Amino acid sequence: MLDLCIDQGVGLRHIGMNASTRVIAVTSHGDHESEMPLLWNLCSALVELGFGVTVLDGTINEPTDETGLAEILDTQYWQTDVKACHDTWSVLPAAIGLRKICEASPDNTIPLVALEGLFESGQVVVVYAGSDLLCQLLAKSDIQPLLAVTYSPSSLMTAYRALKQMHLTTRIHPMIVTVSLEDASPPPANSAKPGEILHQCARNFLTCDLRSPGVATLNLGDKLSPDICKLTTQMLETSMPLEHHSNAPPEYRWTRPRALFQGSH
Amino acid sequence: MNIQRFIAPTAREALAKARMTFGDGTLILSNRPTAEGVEVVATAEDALESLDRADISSNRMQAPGTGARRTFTSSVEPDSKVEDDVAQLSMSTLSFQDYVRERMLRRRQDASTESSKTPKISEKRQHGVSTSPSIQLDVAPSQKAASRTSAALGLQPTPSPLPQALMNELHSMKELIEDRFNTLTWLGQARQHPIVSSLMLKFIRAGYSPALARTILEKLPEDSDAAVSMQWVLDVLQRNLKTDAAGKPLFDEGGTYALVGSTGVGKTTTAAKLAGLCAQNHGASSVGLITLDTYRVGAHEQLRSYGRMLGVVAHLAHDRAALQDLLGLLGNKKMVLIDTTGVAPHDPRRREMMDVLELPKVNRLLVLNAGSQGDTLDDVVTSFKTVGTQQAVLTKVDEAVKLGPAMDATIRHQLVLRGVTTGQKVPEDWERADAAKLIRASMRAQGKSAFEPKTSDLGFFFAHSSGKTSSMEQINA
Repeated sequence: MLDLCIDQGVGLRHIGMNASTRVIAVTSHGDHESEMPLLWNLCSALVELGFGVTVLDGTINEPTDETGLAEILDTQYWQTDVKACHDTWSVLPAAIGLRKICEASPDNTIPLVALEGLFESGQVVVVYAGSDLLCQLLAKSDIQPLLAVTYSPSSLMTAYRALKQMHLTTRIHPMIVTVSLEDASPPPANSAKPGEILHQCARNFLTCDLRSPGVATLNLGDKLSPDICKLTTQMLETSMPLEHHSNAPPEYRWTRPRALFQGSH
Repeated sequence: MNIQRFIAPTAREALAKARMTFGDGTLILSNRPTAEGVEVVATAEDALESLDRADISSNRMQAPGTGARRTFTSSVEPDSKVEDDVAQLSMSTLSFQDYVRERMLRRRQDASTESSKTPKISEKRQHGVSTSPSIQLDVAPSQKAASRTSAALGLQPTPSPLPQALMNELHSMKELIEDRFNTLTWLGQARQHPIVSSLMLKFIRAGYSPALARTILEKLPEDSDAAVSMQWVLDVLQRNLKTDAAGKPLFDEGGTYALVGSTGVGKTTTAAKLAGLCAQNHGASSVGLITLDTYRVGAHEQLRSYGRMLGVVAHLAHDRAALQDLLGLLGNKKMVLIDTTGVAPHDPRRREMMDVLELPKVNRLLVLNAGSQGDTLDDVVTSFKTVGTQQAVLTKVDEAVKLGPAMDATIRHQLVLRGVTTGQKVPEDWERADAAKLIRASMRAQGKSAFEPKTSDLGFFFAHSSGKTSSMEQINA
């Protein structure tokens, strides 16, 4: 029985094979010092939860010598023989590809639907892009992009600008989280949390109440904190499912892209 | 008239004091509990006689129709001799007793307006338990001595809680004795009836409780042959086993369910089975998984592993607030399953855990191990009982040698069976609760076992059964 590698969850796995690919989003507002560690922690938490992860980096155009989203969209499948593996995650430059799907998307259709069938079932696709691109991509979807803000005054300003743009353009309401980096200087005593300030600004100036993720301050370090896991699971619940193309050949559906950061963590 | 008040910690001591003062002819006028103990008002019989004489004399001085007991005084001739009057009065002590009774009654009524305890006493009186101290005066003169003796022994009813408790105890003893005699009588009769006797043994061998067996067999139609009787019993059991057969399966109905129960009964696996079935029918996005189990090592990991296979996120809630947040987040899901920490029925953490689940729209699903012993199941069901309909799932049905105890507990506690699990495979080993199938399986003959009772052992089972309970009255024969 042991040789057969059969356990009591075979049936569950069979059901899970048809699980949708999920899309979540992280807003970039130029504060890369906080956004990168946040994205790293988010992906690590997703892998820890057992999900395969692909980050579509909308802040970088696809280079000519590397696989990017634009190339995948052109070929409709990932030309690689890397076996599907839930222990790794990949990052794809995707600015051109994401703009392309926005332009090609017909009216009243969520542009992200164009990603259907490109990714492995049950995988999580993290779209990391600026607010202008997210406004086009996430229009008419229920995705709540994550908007991180640090104690830096410039971070608060850029975050508010992104928030205002998303709210006024497409009524997208992000999930705001205050990020505190482990190696950053401690915030001044008795200072209000930037996330709370953003919430107040949204309420007072944009007349919108944003949902709080229930994480007061996200402390990002080398180790995964319980808060990032909590935030990750909450983001998964507000993710957008991408249905599979049942007519696509299975060999295409079960291949993976060249993993840029494969095994790098 | 010499009336004295005696206060002592107990009625017995107060009465002893009174007797020391007035001797054997002590007459107890009142007896009531006070802050210091028990207060007894007593006098001597001689004093009472002189008082009677004085009272009659005063009555004679009053105008006709003004006395309380004119019927008595009107019979006295105005010109009669004093000795005759005394002789007549001595035969009519009842009127004074009435007077004293009225006074005592008035006094109690006055006291009732002041004391809040008095309504309880009046309630007791309504239930036929007399607490009136004047009961001493109601007895005939010939019985006074015996009454005084009993008073001296402290057996007279007093408003103190001890006699009431004693009465209750005696009452329960009486009921117990009656119940035992009834059981023995019934058992004797049943033994003479071969079909009843055979069915009785079948019930006990299957693991059913003697109480349920007796309740059903008492209603067994007479003049039925063995096959018909057996079928009748199966029908009764089947009819009384509540299932959700008429409605949708649990995973199609949806809702928020917290799986509660003892340790090791299979709550997490059951949650995974339900999640898998719901995902199969409605998609993985229709299921929400939450665990409250922060105690068992690897509990969250286990649920997360199941969730990972299914593509469902397993959330962890540490407290009630976190659970509320998560329920809000998962509000759009068809089915939300909350896995809880398994706790023993008498574990103090059980109450805390149940309090956390006291949230609107959170249904509790009691997970019971079908292989557990009857008393254990009873204990678990009683401990985890909630207000309203109690839903349950029977797990490990495939492992249970006898299903009788589980069926018995389900019937007696009026649980609604929402499903049974029949193996380890997730989610395949889940079945809807089929009353006919379960009852047939429970009554199926098992192999020889050292625990199998014999016909001669039946007396032991039934002699110690608790008899009918309130839940037995619900049995629909």
